[in-house]
Amino acid sequence: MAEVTRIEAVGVSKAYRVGDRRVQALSRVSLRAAPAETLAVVGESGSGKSTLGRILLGVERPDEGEIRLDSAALSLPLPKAMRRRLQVVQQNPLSTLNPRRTVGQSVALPLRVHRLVAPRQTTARVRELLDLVGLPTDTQDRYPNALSGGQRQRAALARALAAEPDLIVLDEPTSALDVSVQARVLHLLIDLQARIGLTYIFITHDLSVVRNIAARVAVLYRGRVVETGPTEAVFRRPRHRYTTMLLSAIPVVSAAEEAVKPQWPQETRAQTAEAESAGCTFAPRCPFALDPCWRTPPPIESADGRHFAACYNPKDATS
Amino acid sequence: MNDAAPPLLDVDGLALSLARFDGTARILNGVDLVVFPGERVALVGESGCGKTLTARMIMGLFDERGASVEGRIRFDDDDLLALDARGWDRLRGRRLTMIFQDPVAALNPVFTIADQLATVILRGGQAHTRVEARDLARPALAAVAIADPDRVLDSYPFQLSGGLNQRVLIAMALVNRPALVLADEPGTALDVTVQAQTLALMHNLTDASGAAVLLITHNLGVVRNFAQRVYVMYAGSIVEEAPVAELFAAPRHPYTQALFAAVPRLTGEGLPVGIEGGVPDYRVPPPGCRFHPRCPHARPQCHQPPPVIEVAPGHKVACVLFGEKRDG
Repeated sequence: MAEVTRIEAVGVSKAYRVGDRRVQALSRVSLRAAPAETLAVVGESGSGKSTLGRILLGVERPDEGEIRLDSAALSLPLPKAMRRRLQVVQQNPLSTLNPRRTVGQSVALPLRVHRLVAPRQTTARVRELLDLVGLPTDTQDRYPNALSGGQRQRAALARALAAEPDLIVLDEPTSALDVSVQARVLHLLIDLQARIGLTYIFITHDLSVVRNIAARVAVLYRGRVVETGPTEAVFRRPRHRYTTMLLSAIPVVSAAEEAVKPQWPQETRAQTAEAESAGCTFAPRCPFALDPCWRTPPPIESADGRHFAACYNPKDATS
Repeated sequence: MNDAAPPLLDVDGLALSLARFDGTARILNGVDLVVFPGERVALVGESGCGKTLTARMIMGLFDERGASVEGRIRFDDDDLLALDARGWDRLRGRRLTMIFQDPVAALNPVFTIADQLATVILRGGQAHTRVEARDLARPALAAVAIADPDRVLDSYPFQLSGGLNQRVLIAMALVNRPALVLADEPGTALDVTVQAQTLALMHNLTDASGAAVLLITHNLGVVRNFAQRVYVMYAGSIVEEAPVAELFAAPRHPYTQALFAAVPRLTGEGLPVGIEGGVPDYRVPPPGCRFHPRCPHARPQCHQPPPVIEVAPGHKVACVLFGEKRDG
């Protein structure tokens, strides 16, 4: 593709040992995001989406494959200059902001570590950053526990922005917030992206948010990208059966939304311990699985070069 | 609903104030809510609005020093706020049960599912020995679509997935054929696909057994899928109640409308609009309607307690806007 790529994962695999078992968290995951683009990574718990986030940030080393930032492969441990360019905002800011530091101290730290402003200008820059995320100036003297959930997430964002990054991994940034607060934080994220040209990797399980914030989406199931493409295309014409199931399960608030949800046969089968599949990892849960699905992992393919899916029996083949 | 039958649960003017070192917080500010036999009702609101506290008061699980309670909670013929230990023993776990949000926290990690389910069954008086209880436990687990009940019975909670644990909790809540199940955000901690299955199961099973459900949730989509009637709660008060179809077609209270506007839509019409401001400080709440400082329609009358106006059959709104309309 001719488009410019800011960050790229190429054939990334990662396994962990849990007791005497080996858990394959990621299997040959490839994806990319352009400058100032939002790529959503969706999947349920255990799909490997947070592992992918850590690998993209360069805090964890993949077993295979590599991460490229502006076409250059990351070498671990990351040099300080590279760490500055990759920032993260996590789900629970109460556990990521130091409770013994004021918000001002937390936001000032990246400025000092990366020597981004002259020491005399630190206070002014902190105020600027707080203003940028919509926090009143007096927030700088407050501790995280004195802030509301939405304010804390803004403070965490201000700290990430202080480093003047090119990319922010947003790992469930609004999942702990009420919808009325979530909406305001999402607006702030979009607004900042437009002003600063940030690239976002938006990791979430909330597909209704993804629909409205991400240009492209990658669907992860048990460590594999099963479908990826422009958000609109993936939501309107999902190809992989897992994507279809995921979309069909979203609770929505209107008949108009119900109408755009794909249909999925209601699961009447009783739950058993899941069978292992040597092929598609979704085969044990898939009522449309064919023989090959159990034998060989399906290749990820595309008809238009934009919308990819790894499914032997995709949705539009039969229905 | 059948208006002739008396409500199974009747919460009337429930208020709760807590004395804290820095002042008294009136956390529940007059909650009125009824559930009829066999009815599925949702209580929806954002964090801190008092919905879980309301459920805990109904279950008799709220007992804090310095609390002052007003109002009344009636269940069948019992006055729950005046019930003694013996009375609770008769109701809780039998006629009145609860499903908690986090299945892992709700189950005891050091006992098998068989032990825990048998305790519940013995308590219900359907069995007199653990062997008999196990015979009743098997079909109870089969009813929640667990294919191999014996394996699950011999497991500890940590050996089961979140979805399976949640099903075990549903089985526990229903096995003694309660008249009312309180469900506090069931499945919220689980993935959407599992959450959808959990709600479908609860829907089918309570339909079959005739149990009423009071579902506590923050998710309007879940309300639409599950409930017949809904109460919207804000800052300790019910601001609107309506049949679900009616509320989703025409939400009337400014808070309810703002809540709907804040939900991101799957149709992708762009980012939703949030609500400016935050939940009030309960020690010094705004006078009158507690939503008025954030309300685009606020007017001087909002400093008085809002009238509750029935705008359509069964659709009530606690807002001065509708009082004016009726007068004029």
